[in-house]
Amino acid sequence: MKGCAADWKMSEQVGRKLLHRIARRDEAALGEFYDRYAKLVYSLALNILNSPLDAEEVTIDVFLQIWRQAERYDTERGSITAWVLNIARSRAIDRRRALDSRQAVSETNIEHITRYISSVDGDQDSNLQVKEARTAIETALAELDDKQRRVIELAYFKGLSQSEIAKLLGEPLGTVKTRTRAAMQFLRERLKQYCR
Amino acid sequence: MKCDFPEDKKESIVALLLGELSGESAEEIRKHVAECKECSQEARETFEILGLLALSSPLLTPPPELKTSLMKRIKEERYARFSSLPWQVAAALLLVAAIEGYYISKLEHQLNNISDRLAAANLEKQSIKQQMLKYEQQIAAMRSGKLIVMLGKQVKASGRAFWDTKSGNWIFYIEDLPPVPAGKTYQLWFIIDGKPIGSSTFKTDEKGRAELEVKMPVEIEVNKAEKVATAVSLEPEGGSTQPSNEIYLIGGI
Ligand SMILES: [Zn+2]
Repeated sequence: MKGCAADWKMSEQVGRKLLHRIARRDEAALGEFYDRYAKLVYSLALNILNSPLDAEEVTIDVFLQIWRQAERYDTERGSITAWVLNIARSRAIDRRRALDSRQAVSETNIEHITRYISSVDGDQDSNLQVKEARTAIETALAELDDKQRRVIELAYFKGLSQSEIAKLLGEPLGTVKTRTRAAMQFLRERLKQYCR
Repeated sequence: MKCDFPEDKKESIVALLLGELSGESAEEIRKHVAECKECSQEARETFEILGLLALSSPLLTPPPELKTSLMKRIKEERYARFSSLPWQVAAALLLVAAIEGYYISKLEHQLNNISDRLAAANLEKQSIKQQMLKYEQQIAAMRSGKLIVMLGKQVKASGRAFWDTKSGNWIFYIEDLPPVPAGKTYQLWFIIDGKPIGSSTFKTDEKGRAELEVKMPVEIEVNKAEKVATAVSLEPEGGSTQPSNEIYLIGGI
């Protein structure tokens, strides 16, 4: 496990160099950056939005934002992967909220559904670091108790606020907040080689 | 320093990172996190965990045309950027448009650098003028120089050689060469009056491209330009004095 987290950090170095080049408006660097992260961004957006068409648009938005704001990346705050996926999540959640408020469940047409199915690649060609990090987070999530996992999923993938979660689960807000933090603390402990 | 932030505030760190807080409540947490070592560590680690959570999504590949449309959007934005540049820069860009498309992206890059510096407002007017002059000279040199198109032999490679007849410099842009086998190298040749003269050896990048700037090994008058040809061959490491049979690119004026 130690070794793979080290690879994870190596891959950070590459990402950082690419971001420097993107900040200098190097298109080829953005292309390479896209190749490294598009799959993760798209998969997250699709998981949140459940619509390939919307996920594609979010993916484009995310990389356009990176193109315009590469210089805003701050090493102090965290890794590039976390930064990119944080942008992706907030874009996807924003879109989800906009769609919900219009009551417009986005139609997924046949073409997109076929594309969706044919693109499920079962991890075959994803790079090793991502694969190992995935296994690590999935294992850690499985170790959470069901209630903890539920609040994390509702907050992260559904974009519900802590009070919305409390209402949904019929529990006091304080309980939900405490449980969320306890779950995060558990994950930080389990995955410390990835986040320190 | 021990942290004395109340527990319920610490519980809001994750909400802050998820973009749930705004206004005063966000500011309060942000301010404390910035000052407290313990909480800033918690925030940083939580931020990483949130990134890792994304990885638990089923992994899917976006359609390939998505990248194409992203790159197209970026090109569009780039041209939009140019239209807001000072007229001197815009004028230089117009000049560029007269030259072959291949060089445009290179010059764009330089012009872009200028525009970034302008935006930063750190360069004195004078030095910007000098820079402009330099690029204008480069553009003028490109217009008056000679261009050689190099075609692939045995392979699908291609190349362009640009001869700046004033300075005597040659710039080569080479594409699509196959990867160099171990122990081998590519070598550039000038062929003058049918006689090959060895020049630099070089390696290509992972996409088979190379960019070289060399002086011609012998002097030749511009009016004898039609006697000059260039070639690229595969040679043993270190280069050769006579080209091998493996000539991959060749071109003349
Ligand atoms: Zn604190």
